[in-house]
Amino acid sequence: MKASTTCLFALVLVLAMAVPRPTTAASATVDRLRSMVDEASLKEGNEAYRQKDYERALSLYRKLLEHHVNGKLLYNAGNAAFKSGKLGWAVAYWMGAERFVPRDGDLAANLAFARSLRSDRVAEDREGASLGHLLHRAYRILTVSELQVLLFAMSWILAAFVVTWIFGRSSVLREIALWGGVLMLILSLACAVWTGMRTWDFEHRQTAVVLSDSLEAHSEPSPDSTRVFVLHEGTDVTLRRRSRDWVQVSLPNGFSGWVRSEGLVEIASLGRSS
Amino acid sequence: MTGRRKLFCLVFALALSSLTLLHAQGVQVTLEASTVETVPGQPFTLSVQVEGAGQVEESPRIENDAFRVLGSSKQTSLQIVNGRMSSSMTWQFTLLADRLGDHVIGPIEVRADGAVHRSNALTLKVSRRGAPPTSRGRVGRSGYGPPQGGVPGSSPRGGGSTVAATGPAHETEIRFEVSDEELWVGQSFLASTRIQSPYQISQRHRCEAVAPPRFDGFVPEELPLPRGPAYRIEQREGRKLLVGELTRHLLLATKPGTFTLQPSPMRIPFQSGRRRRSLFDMDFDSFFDSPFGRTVTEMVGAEACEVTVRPLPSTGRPDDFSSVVGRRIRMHGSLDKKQVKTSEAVTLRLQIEGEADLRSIKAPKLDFGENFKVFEPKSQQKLELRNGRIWGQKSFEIVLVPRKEGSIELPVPRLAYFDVDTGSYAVAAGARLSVKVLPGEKEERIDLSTLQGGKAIRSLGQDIRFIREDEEALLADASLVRHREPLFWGMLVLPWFLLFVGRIFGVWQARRSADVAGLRASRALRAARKAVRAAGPVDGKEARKFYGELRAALASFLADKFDQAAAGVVLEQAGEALEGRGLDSPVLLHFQSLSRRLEARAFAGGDGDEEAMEADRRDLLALMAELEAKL
Repeated sequence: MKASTTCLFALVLVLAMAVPRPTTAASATVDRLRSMVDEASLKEGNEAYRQKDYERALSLYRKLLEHHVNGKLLYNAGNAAFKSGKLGWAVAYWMGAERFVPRDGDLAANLAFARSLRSDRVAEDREGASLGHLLHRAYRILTVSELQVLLFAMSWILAAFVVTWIFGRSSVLREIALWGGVLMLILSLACAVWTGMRTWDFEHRQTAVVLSDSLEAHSEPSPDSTRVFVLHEGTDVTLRRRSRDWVQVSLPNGFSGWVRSEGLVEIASLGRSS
Repeated sequence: MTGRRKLFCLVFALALSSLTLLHAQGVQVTLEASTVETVPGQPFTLSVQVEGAGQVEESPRIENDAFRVLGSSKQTSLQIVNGRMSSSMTWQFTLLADRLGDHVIGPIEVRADGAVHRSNALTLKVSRRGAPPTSRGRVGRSGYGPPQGGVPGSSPRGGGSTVAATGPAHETEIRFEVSDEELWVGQSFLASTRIQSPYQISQRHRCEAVAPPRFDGFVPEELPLPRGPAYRIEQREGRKLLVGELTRHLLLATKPGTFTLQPSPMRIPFQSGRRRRSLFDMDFDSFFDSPFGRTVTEMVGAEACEVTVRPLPSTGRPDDFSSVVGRRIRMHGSLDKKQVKTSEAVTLRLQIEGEADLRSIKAPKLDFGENFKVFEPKSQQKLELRNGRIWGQKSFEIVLVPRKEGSIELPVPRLAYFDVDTGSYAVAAGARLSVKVLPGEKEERIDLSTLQGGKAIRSLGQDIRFIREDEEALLADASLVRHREPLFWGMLVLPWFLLFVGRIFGVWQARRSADVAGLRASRALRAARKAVRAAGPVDGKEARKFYGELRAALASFLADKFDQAAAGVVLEQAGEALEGRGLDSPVLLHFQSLSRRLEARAFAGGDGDEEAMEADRRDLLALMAELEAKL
């Protein structure tokens, strides 16, 4: 009886953490008003886009991104930026949207089109249908959040198999549970590795997009140092280190250099998530 | 100062003084032509010479509707005659006559040294016959000079060219030939430019048209030659001639009347042979000649051709006239299957061919009624030359899916056309076809694998895709990661925690199951209470039985507690056992009094008082609870 009580207590504790905290009447009113304003802004932004007033549409989408971050809103912001002639911003917004909706066909088409227009040709543009490219796409086919939910679900299924194996009375049922559990254990471990890598990437690997028409990379964080290469609008780079207003960037082909941070926009900084 | 220097200074001073005199001379503009009579299609040269002018502000222009300017060049010369320097500028225009008759060219106006000067006028006769042979009869020559080579075994002679003279251009004939001279509106025919020359023509250089041909009244389409111009040697009138086709046009007559087809003059690259006998025969030019011989490009004109186009008669014109004008038009129809099911596709092939351009015709309209589901026809077309005439073929593939069962006759395909041989309208019809349709599947499902694909969709442009408009989704808050939420870790760990707890519980339960005595003791109270509550009805007649059951329940309770058989438990002795276990005296006294009462009433029976019996039941339950707590 004592064990059952402990289980029940643990379950209640976990569920209690999931229950949202009660909101006050004042904060509920503020939330309702903000929701109405956001809906109006969204309608206005979409209408501005339809009327080809892309600058206004972009401005409204940016305001909305301060309160709501999701893949579709970032996609719309990327569209408005592209139509406004801001290739760098468009690529940045679409790459940001890709983190939320990596399997969106429209998003992939727009991003591919924008990348075909940029001046710099990086390795990923030439990968095509190579095995490495396919593996890279498979690696990113699920979002970090989806992977974590998948890992959670697998964990529960594995536990169910183990329970059945331990407490099952039918030998056939126990046999099925044993092999199912082994299979699920392997899948869960693979999923855990995959999730771990993606989570590490998410936490530690920062990507940015070049906004300037031309951005010089130097060997040191100083304008007097040697110029090592030049980046152009729309090229995405990986951020390594920071030194005051300079950041060290690296390219897929192994190039690395220091550029002024004002010429870049970090993907993670787009919207409220920053 | 030496004598040579004195002479140089004198010449220089003379030249300077002459230059100053140039402007003082009168300006004279002269207009000359290389011929006084020409034929349509034959290029000739017109020269405008300006003498005595210091600066010509604008080049002279030739404006006459009867002639086309094919090209122009400019030459400047400076002469000193009798100590006076004179300059002259000459513009040479290559013209092509388009119309018959006498045409006046000029006077040409030239603006020089701030004044306008006029030339003389020239009258040129354009006739079918052309000009008599003159030494100036050569036209448009551009090259190093007349080549010396010829077709092996030939002796170049006059004939064939429209303007007789010496040189390859004048012994070369370009004929403009049409497949039909009497035509009908809507009829297509072939027009070819053919060359015959006693001279060799370079295969390494192309024969080029100097100007586009004029085919007023016709819609022209240039047809590619199979492998460029191919020449062959023919024996004609005892001479060996090089013969070949230079251009080929398909012309469509659009309106009735008599029209002159004006071909384009051609630049022909004549090939000269190498005839060096020794090194001493070699001149400066020939030293740099190509080892393949020299190539001399000369312009050769062709005579125009006249054709008559008649209108199509309005009488007898069928309502479904297809606009095809030609001869020997035939139609053939076939089915790829004679027997199909209602869900299967059958392909009707219609092939139309004949001496006409059939590329633009549409599929014959066939009324299949409700018998078939008809798909868009797919067509293939072909245009060939057969015996110097065009020959067209167009085939249609119409996919039909029968809707009804039975033997179904297809409508007879027909094509109404105008037969140019008979000068009347005719009909080309296919054979009557039928197909046997067997019952197919109940649902009308079309077997798409039997259909043939259409044309590939062509991309016209590229742009990004449109925005999302789902407001609810756009204003939703999406989470990128969940590992920052405690709930995620809680739910991730929970199954393993529960599993751990469950496992421990299982072990504990197993151990407990192994302790039979403990298990009996723990279940003693529950079983005894159940037996007490189930004791028989409280009725005076059954009092003995009731108390017997209470006594048995108490004995069973104690047997479970002492892990003994219930039959071996005697209540009187049980009191001693309880005392031996250190039971409190009040509880012990309570037990002894109650056990004695139960024993006595179980044998003697009671007074049948129901309330007393109920009180004893409650008393027993209370006693067992006390014993459970103490034991």
